[in-house]
Amino acid sequence: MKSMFKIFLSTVLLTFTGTAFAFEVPPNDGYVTDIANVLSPDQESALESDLTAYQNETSNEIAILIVETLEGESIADAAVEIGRKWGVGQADFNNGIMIVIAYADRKLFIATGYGMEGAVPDIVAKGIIDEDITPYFKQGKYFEGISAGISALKKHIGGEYTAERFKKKKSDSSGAAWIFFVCFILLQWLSAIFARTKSWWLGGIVGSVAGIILVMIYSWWISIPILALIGFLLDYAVSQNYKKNRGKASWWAGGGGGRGGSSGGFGGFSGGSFGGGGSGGGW
Amino acid sequence: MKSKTPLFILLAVVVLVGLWVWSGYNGFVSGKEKVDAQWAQVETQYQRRADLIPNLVNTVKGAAEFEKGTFTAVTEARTKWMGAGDRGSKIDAAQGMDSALARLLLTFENYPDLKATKAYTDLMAQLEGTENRVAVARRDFNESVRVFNVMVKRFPGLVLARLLGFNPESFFEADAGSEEAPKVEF
Repeated sequence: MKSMFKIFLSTVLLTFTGTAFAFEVPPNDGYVTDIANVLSPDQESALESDLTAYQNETSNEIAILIVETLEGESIADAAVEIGRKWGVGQADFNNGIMIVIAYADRKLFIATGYGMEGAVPDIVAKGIIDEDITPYFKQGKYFEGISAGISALKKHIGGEYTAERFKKKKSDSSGAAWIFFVCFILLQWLSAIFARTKSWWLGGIVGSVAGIILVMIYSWWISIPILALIGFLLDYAVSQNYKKNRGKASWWAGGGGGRGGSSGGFGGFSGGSFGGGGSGGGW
Repeated sequence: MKSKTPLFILLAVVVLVGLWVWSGYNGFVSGKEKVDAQWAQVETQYQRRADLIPNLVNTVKGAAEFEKGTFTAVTEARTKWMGAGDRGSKIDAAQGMDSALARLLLTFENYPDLKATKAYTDLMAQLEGTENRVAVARRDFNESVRVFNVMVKRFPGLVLARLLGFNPESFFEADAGSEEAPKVEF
């Protein structure tokens, strides 16, 4: 029963997955993610600290991804997809810029977030690519090209966004982990109560109520039957178990578990979105 | 105590069904709302493109005298878009505009002098931008339609959707020919 219940729980949790896209969006490791190893570690950290300082000062987020190839995916589509997935820019202002460089394809794209389309119109993005970036890229000077592009972008964005609009970043950006943590504690706590009460159906009621609350907040109507069922099964399971070995601690009745370590340094982007603005070019 | 159990169960079932209808209705409404919002985004982006057309025609008219027929096709497609009423005819008009524009852009290949001008390259950057935005808006719209349709078409929801009068929405499929043609290469 124990292991079956565990499996059931994990199946429920695993059904929450995102939509698929042809090009696999790689995870980011900061403002500069250089998968193709075009930049030296020194150059990468120089850009990284420059962009971090820029973000602290203005709240604008400029992200760079360098990949080997996009496997035939349109670079404009890929840039939007990556920018959205990473959430480059503040969620309220969408003031992010996603620069995608496909090294072997010899293509690059500057995607502007919704909030940047005014400060960096497509023509400006095109101009920055043609006049500031690609002349360096043609000589194989990638770091210089990227730096020139960033400073040109900064110049154009100018005073559009300032630190005043900077939304203080929450210390923890992984909301999912928190929800999971809270659910886990709640589950333990409820289990302890259910096990001690004589009823085997209370869990079902509690589950339904939780489901109704979720419906009212998120209109996930499916949550009623699921939570009712989970509650019922949980109560039934723990009641049976409690009867069998009264007093002995089971896996759910123990003390709270510790929380996993959070990522060091880079706290993640802030949830900005993109709508297809920007421009691309090749070298 | 024992005789009251069936009543209790019946009550629970009634309450659950009521909640199901309530939340199901709310789900349909917000799904539809999302589809409409994404459609508004598609319209905005097509409008942006339609607004560029007179500009485009003015810029290139002098240089490409011989393409009168293509120009009128584009202008007509634009007029048709401006006049289109419901979603179906707007989709039709948008597809017409896509392919007319694609043909016009193709003819410019024969005018290297024109392609070298600053006005032309600026316009192309703008047109390419509208193309990307249209693509993103269209994809978002289709995604919201897909989510809504799954809600309306899948089994338990299906019954409720029929009863409440929610029908599946249609996708905005790109015209077979226009899919890649409007991409402007430099």
